[in-house]
Amino acid sequence: MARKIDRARLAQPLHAALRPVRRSPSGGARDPRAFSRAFLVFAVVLLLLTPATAQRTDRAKMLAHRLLCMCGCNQILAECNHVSCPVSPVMLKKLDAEISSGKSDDLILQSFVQEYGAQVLAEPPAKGFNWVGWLMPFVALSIGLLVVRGVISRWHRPAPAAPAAPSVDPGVLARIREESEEDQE
Amino acid sequence: MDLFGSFALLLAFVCSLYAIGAGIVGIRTKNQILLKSARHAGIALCVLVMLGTASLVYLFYTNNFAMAYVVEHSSRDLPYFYKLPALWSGQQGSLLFWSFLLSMYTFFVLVLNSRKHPELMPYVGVILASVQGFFLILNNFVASPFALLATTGASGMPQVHALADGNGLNPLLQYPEMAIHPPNLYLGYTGFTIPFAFALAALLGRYPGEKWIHVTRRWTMVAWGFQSIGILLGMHWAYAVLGWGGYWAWDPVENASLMPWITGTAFLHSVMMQEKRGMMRVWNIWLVFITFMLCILGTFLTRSGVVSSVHAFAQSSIGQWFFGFLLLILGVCLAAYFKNRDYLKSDNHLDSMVSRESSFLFNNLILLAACFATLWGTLFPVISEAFTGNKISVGPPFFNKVNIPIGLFLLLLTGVGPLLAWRRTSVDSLRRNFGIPVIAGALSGVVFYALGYRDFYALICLILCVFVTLTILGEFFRGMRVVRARTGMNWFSSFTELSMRNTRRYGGYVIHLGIVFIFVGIAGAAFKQDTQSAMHPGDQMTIGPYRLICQEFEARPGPNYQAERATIEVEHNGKSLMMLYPERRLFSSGNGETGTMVAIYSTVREDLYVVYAGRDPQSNAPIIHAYLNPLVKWIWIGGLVVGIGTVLAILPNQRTAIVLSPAAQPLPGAAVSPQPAPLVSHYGSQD
Repeated sequence: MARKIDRARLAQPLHAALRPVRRSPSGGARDPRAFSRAFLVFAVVLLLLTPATAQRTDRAKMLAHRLLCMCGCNQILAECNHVSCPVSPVMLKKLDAEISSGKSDDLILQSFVQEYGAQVLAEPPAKGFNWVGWLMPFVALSIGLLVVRGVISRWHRPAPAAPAAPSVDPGVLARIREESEEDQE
Repeated sequence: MDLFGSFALLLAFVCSLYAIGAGIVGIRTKNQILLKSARHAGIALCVLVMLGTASLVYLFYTNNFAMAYVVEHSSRDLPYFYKLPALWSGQQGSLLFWSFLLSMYTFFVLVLNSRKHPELMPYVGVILASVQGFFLILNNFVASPFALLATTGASGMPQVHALADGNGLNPLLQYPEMAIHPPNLYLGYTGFTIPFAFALAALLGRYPGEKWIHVTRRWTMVAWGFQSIGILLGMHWAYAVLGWGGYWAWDPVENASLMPWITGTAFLHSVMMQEKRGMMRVWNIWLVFITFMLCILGTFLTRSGVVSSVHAFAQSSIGQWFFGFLLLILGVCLAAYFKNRDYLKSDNHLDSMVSRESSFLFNNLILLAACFATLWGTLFPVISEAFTGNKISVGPPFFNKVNIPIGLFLLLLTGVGPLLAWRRTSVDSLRRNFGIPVIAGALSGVVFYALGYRDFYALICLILCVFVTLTILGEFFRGMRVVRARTGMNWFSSFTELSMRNTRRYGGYVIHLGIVFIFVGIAGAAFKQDTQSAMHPGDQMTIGPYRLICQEFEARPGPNYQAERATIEVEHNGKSLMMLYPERRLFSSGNGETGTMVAIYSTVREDLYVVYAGRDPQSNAPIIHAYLNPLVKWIWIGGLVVGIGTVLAILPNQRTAIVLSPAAQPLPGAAVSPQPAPLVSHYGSQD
């Protein structure tokens, strides 16, 4: 059966670490810290009355998608899979440790920022000068909308009324109609 | 052969200087002999660049390890197939490849138009020679691919020496798509030089009318088509090789390829305003300029190290050259515009707020907003550091949050725009054309929601995809019905007849359909799942409806690598389905690099994507990472449809419109439409 992955012993920089507890129906190689972690998780389950295993996995995934691997590959931490990366296993291990310690998402992200700098965040936090980064595309779009609206207003001139059709003798019209119907039969 | 290549490039540079000089003097003095010789010099430089490139290819195939570039990017055990892609795998070779493709375009433009547009072509020749000249400066003096390995001998003279073997090609590039992805992308980048040259030539020469638009539309379509296919091939390569389960990471290199594609798309739409109504001349000419400048900007960004990228070439001073060239182009464009802007005056007039014209304005706005957002996100880390001193990252979450709403609005316009009539659209027409698609789109939303597709953006995207598909199919249906009524053809023949009578219009619809499919595939990303486990033989893991059973894992040799391969049996809903063989390769040359061969079971519903992620060092079991990626196949199907649509749109109309042909008569016994008017609306338009 599927075995749990011991991140501490992984030789390669894979993000195996994110889902160690899930789907291990009959054991296999056991992490020595598994019991203490399981106890901690169990305590959180009791406390929050929610399924802890799924929450832990999903939370780790979610947080790892909000961080970048800091080896210079520029990849999302959860997706960094390049070989011999010395950084992502360490970061993932830290992420698991932070989650296990019961910290909130913000505190966990903050601890990563303290260790690696603001570059570790996959998107700039919405504060200070970063607001310029977030808002500028929408400001540009809004200005563009105003410009297009102005252009349409300026260019919009109702077309002159169509000239009146030349008067045709009703008798001629009726003859043409009759001939057309004969053609189509 | 290395000397031959070097001299060919040097001579090509001299030819480019002559083509520029003789062309300018010829234009000013109206000396036809000078103009002719300038054109010949332009053709000669193309041939010389082709010869130079061929000589480098020859050096790769003959394993000439006295050449520094060959040593860096090839090895004796590199399969023959990959010796050609090795040409563009590094800085110097890729720049030569750029020159080569540009020379191909230039050659065809100069030869095919040798007796046409006598007032326009001299300017075009000078502009193309100038762009080619810039790249030849790089090829000859900044990043020559013909540098030899040499050491200083006892006499103080350099002595050339050859190595026994080279470092080999980056394993990530040893994948069949790498043989076609970069050429397609580069054909897109270089292809945008042609409309740029014609636009600038028309402005400089005050060429009357919209002729330059007519001349360059097909060239622009060709460049756009190559860029589209190049981007999609790159996505597929990332998906199939990099093994992270995705296809687009908003990396600066990816963004650099997307931005000119977006502005090129905007141009292909707004150009119809100029052709039909003589409007937006200033806008169109600047769209062409911006598209070309974005090609150069992207190259600057990825080769200068200004922004960090996983694909970036080694940082070098070459970025400064591109930055200087970019400023030069901007200066020339601004000067030409301010000198001759009166030539671009047009009578802009909208008859109605609800019309094809206004939809094109919004289309261009949204496309430009998407381009700006992409450029802004790419550059914001640099801007932020300049203003605050703090380094930040702008990764996929930023781009997704900003560009997804913009993209959805664009998708909406894809459905709405083509059905609006030129000049004005009546309420009755709106009701007739949009009634069924709107109702069906709304109903599909309920169905998708009930089926569990509850991510907000993905749900909106799928609803819009249904809406747009039905509007497009409705257009085909109405046209085919008219053709059938007039000719008695069957549905398939009427489809062919309709499409070939107005290739541009119906090719455009096919492209739109392809874009819809791509959006369907992108929407699927919201429902992605993944799981990972170390698996001994007999171990199982489950993902979605699939059960993966590890049968065995083995080591096996390849031509220039050792592979570790797992054999995974896949069961679907309890029934054995197939075997998958994900593997990891360790290449013998270079620095012992590894490559991934992802095993993918692909259906239109979902992809089962299995990666051999390495081994658990203690248990020695392979670590298998499995992803369930819904709807991804629609992206590649969409790419194929976009390609077919592009080819169709490039083809000339095969027949004249039925309604204009007095010879066209209903076949005996065929149904006859009592209302011939729709024919006019279907065949009369050339968009």
